[in-house]
Amino acid sequence: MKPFDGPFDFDAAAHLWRRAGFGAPEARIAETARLGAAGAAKAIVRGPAKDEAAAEMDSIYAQVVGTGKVDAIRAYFLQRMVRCEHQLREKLALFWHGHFATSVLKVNEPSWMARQYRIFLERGLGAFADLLGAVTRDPAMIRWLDNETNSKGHPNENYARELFELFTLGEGNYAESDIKEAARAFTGWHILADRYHFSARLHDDGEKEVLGVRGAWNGDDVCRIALSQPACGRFLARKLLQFFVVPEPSAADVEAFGEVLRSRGYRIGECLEVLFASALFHGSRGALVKSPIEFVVTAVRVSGGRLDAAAAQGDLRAMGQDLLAPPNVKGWPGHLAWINTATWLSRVDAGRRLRFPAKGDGVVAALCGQPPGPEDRARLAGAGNDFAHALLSLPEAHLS
Amino acid sequence: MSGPPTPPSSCCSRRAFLKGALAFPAAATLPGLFARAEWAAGGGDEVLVLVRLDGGNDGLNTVVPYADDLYHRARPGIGVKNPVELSDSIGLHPSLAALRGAWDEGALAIVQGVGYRDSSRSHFTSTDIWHTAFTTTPERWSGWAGRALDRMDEGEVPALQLDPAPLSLALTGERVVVPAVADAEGFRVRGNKELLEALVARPREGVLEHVRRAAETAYRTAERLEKALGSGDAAGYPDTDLARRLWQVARLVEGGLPARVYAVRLSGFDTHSRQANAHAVLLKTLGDALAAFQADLKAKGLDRRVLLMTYSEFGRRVEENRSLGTDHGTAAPLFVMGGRVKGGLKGAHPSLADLDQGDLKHHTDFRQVYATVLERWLNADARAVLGAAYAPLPFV
Repeated sequence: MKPFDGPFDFDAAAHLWRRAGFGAPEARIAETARLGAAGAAKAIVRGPAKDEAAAEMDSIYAQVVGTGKVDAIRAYFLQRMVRCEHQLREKLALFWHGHFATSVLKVNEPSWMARQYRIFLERGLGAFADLLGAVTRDPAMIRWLDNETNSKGHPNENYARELFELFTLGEGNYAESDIKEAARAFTGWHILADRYHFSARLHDDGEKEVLGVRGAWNGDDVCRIALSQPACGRFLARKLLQFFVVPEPSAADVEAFGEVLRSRGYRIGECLEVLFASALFHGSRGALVKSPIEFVVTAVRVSGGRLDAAAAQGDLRAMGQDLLAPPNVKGWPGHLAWINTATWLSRVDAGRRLRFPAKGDGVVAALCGQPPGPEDRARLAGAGNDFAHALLSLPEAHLS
Repeated sequence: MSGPPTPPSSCCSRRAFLKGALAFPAAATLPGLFARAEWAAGGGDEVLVLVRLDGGNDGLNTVVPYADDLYHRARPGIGVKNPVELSDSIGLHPSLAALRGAWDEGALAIVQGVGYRDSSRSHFTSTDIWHTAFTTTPERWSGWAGRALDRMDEGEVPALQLDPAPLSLALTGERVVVPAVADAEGFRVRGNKELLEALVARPREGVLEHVRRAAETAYRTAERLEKALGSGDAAGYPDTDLARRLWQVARLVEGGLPARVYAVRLSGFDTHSRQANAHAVLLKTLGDALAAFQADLKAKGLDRRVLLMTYSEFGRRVEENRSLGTDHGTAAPLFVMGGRVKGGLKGAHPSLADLDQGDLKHHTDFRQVYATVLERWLNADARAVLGAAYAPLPFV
């Protein structure tokens, strides 16, 4: 991918923070702007040497999960997004949550959902194969896609189907027969006492033909075979580009980033470092609509304020993004789909709750994906106590 | 009879959709305010209500071929044992008992065996196919109802989705802007309204213009809904989201909102495991809400102006699975209800003896249902909207 060779100024650094994280306060953006495009991409991927907020959040994790309350767990992950310094880790966890979209509404065990989200936090930046292996054994996922009832002689195809259609290859890159055969490989991958459990008795250890290769495959083999397909690189490249860069990446860009992924063993952090320093990334300012979580968390971080997690959860639900409860296994549709009449009023209402101590141009540039016009800047300047509400009601503030 | 051959699907290009969604003619940003009378002159005031059963409703346990041994053999664990008998071979799931009234009045039609060739087993692809009415990637990504609305006089609120989800592709047109609200009640602008409106007055371009138009539509819709909604009495409606939204539809129709199409949704039909209870609850929610809606419309004298139809992306496999559930299948029945409906069973139940790899064979293309609704209800050019001619069905 062609590296970015334009001027890496405040606006470019603000763009990086909005996309690779959930924005940043003005002063933090100014620091990043001094690093240059490559240095900034490296810093944001690696994160700070010491992340005190993350350490503090880690220390209360067990206690939060122990409540068994889904709202407490949601609040916890939202607070991490606001507070943790290694922003990409939090942002990528949200990406993987949307990719492996699992909902508490079916899983019914909030603590399992927390454990799954933790997998995204812990492994999201590493090799995709490790992440996929962990997710395939994750109890929340096993319940979500009915693998509990996938047994020898009576296969349930749900996990195999979504593994190919939504997690690794995309439609058109496998046949119905591959799903049927792959489902047999996942037989006996069950849950026992809240944990993954392999039941040899219920596992079909016969020969299967999956994506053109024969063998007595188990679930890990199927994941490995899926990952070895060139289609997997393109599929993941496309999804990462749609989340981090542009709503509709070109075939050439998908191919190029797919090659980055394949050649670097799908080590996600490493690949994103290349992406964040690319001309493609820096040419995409304002091309995406902020998801509700991006909209709210970015506003809080830019304002330097605190997140009222209880109020935010109601707002987010109304805007169509209930954390830990994506609408279906395909995740949130994203981009233009976030904005309609209903969600617009909810977004604008959420903006009424926020206060911005600083009101200058830096705040506007940190927040908005595209610069507001001069008349609207004048309206903001004259808005007084309505400043936050007005700023967050500008269409420009809803773009990233 | 069905339309042109339908090669295997590979729906749908998001790029095409984006192009369509962003191609707003400038004039469309200032839609005229149409009075009731103008609407009537422009093509009638019939209202269509779309009820989407999200997840793939198990048609076989909804409209049950209870006299067929093959049915009971395929479904030893989840087969419906005590249907509401409609004929000597077909019955409704007992949770739909409330629909018996509409059936007896002749206000309920059941169109059987609806589907399309080479049915997709993917929820997403098949939903897109039902919504676009195209089984192959279309040139433009828009919905069948949206395209019909494109051809009508554009009112301030040409259609309304009552569902917090993103606007249904079915209602997405190339020109028309359809508002979607989670709830018509409480859809109000709060804060400094004048300032908010001023901030979205200036036209933008591209994605920003899409956002701006949604904002402008939201502020305008809020005003219109508040005027049309009135208060009303919920007596007779059960306490479910679906029923509450249908109650709001009835009030908005009564209050003169010029919407021609309303869309609501009931989710949870993807019953892969232990489906008996879950499916019974869903069907009760559906049946009770529909029955209350029909009774309310009748009481308001509006039942002859409103036609409601249900649909789902696919039916489910004939044979139950090991988890006492059902996997993704093909053909299924759908309901059409209203005071001007020609009630009864339309088409035969698909044979359980003649299956296609364990799935029911459809005999009625879903676009025949659309063609009927477009031509005989919305007074729209079905051929232009659907891109081909489909034989209409005798349900209205």
